[in-house]
Amino acid sequence: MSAGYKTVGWNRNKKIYDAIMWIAIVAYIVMFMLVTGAAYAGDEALSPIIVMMRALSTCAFLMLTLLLCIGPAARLNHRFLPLLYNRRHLGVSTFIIALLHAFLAVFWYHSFGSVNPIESVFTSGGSYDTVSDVPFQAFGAIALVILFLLAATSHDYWNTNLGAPLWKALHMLVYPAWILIVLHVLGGALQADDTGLLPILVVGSVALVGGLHIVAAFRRSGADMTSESTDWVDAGPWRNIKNNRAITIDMGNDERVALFRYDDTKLCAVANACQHQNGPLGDGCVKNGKIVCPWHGYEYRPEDGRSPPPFTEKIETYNVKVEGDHVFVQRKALPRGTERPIIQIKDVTHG
Amino acid sequence: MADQRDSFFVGYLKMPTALKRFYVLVSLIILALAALTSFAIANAQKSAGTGVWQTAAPVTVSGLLSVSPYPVLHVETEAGIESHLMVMTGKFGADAFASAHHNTQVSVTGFAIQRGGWNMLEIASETDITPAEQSSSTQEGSALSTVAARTLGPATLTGEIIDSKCFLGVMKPGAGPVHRACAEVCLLGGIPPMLVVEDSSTGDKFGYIVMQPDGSSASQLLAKRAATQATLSGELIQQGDLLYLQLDDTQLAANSQ
Ligand code: HEM
Repeated sequence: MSAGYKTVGWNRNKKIYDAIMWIAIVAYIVMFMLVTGAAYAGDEALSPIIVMMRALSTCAFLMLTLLLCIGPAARLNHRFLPLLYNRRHLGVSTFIIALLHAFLAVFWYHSFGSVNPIESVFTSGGSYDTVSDVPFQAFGAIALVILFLLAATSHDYWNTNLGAPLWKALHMLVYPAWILIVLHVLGGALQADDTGLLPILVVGSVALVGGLHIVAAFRRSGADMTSESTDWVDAGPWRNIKNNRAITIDMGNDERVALFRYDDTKLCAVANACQHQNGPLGDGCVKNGKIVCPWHGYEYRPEDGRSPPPFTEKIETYNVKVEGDHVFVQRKALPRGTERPIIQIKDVTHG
Repeated sequence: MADQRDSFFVGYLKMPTALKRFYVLVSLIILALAALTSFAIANAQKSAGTGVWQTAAPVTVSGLLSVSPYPVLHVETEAGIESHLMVMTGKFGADAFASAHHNTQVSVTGFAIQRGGWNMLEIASETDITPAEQSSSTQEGSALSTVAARTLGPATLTGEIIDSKCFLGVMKPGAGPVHRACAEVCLLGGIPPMLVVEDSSTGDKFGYIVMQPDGSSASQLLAKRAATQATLSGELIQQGDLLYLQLDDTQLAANSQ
């Protein structure tokens, strides 16, 4: 077993991240209650539980939107990487806020009656005869179950034991959850539109999340070097790689390779996916002679793609050669942790 | 080299100063956005009317209790008869406890629910209804002995089917599509159903308590249609200050589909 998950413990940056997040959450909810109280008082006062339900739900929805924007934003601009680094705390907090919202809804709308409250969430207020009649709260409930699953498996323990690919696949369920929540709002609150700004909230969220993903994907495919079907893949002039940085090469067979240049003159290629959480090593850097993953700082040695002891992660390595100005990467990956010669460029005229 | 300015950051390391400044800005923007969106969404909420649910202290009201088909306490006042619909705590009608007192003088203790001219009493147990012989009927001198039901003629009305308890003030808002599931559970529990008709020019709301053609409760019948728009026809009846719609047979057939 790996000692890997110990590296992502609590530290000062994480505490600041969490503090700002919770200040924003509390500010949002307190503001919501105060503004509602000022707008409707006395006989016109709205039910505090319903107002709280709305404050929590819209807060969770905004958090989820933010959460889904971090990935593509970090791909577009490296300055957003620190947000990504602690994204899981945002995810777990989103679940907690959504859970409180759901708890109030079940308590207020479904309890104290002749029907089992949980059953009522799925059966009351609609039918399964037509798509448009499906009770909107059922969508919310399924989304909540997904968010729970993701929050419960967010710890590195699960990442290590499920394996990075399965863990990543599981956590891609956040997208279906988000779509279910959009349906939850479209089928419910948007029909009543008691909160007049919901359409803007939903359209804004969809446009922002969708737009950022499309732009980031577009950039990515543009940035990747596309490769022909030879044994060696031309990665372009080595000068295009910044020192201590990498370019990501699409090998054309669903594999991506991170090609690093470091110490000005050395070149090495490894698999792009970090063993920890499939983080993009090609967006990382070389620091103190180690490849560093931009997501959680996992390190690999350029020589053999192994994490320095006591860690045991290993990634595939690739052979590299230089012809003229161009670097080439061998298409066939070497087994994880295989040592191979590091290519040294001879005539480096600084530039 | 260019990457010196790129300020690469790994989470557990100390943040470079340039990046730190960037994140001070990002944090401020996030806090401002949180406050702004919260203000905007909260401020855009719609009114849910003037219903109130006075849970601070229970009230005791005396009058003639009749169950026809829903329990109502008719109270004689200077302005005429004031009719208080009666319901139970939670999502249940009060028929079970009230029917034993049908057509008798009682005192009822419960939380008042009021909206406009509408009155409702929420009771918690059997003991909240007590025979009134001892005190209250003698105070007034002339206790109500009967409250006549007047037939006003046939009517066809379009509006939303709601559960009267939530609509009259227990839930704000207690109507509309979002409240549908709750209204359904309330009606299943026997809360009197009402058809709320809105005068589109004035925004005034009129409520008609709905009953079946045979004069029995329509709660269960209408449960699945709660919080939806419906056109119902029947006989309009007034009893006390309440208006009832007694459905036509044909209407019932259409309802049960
Ligand atoms: C068992 C699960 C859930 C139930 C029973 C539930 C129930 C409800 C109800 C009753 C409303 C209408 C509230 C009102 O305006 O009076 C609502 C609205 C909403 N819900 Fe949920 N919900 C659940 C899960 C979720 C989850 C996981 C999210 C994720 C963020 C969410 C987000 C929202 C949003 C954004 C609204 C619209 C704003 C509002 O009117 O409150 N809900 N939900």
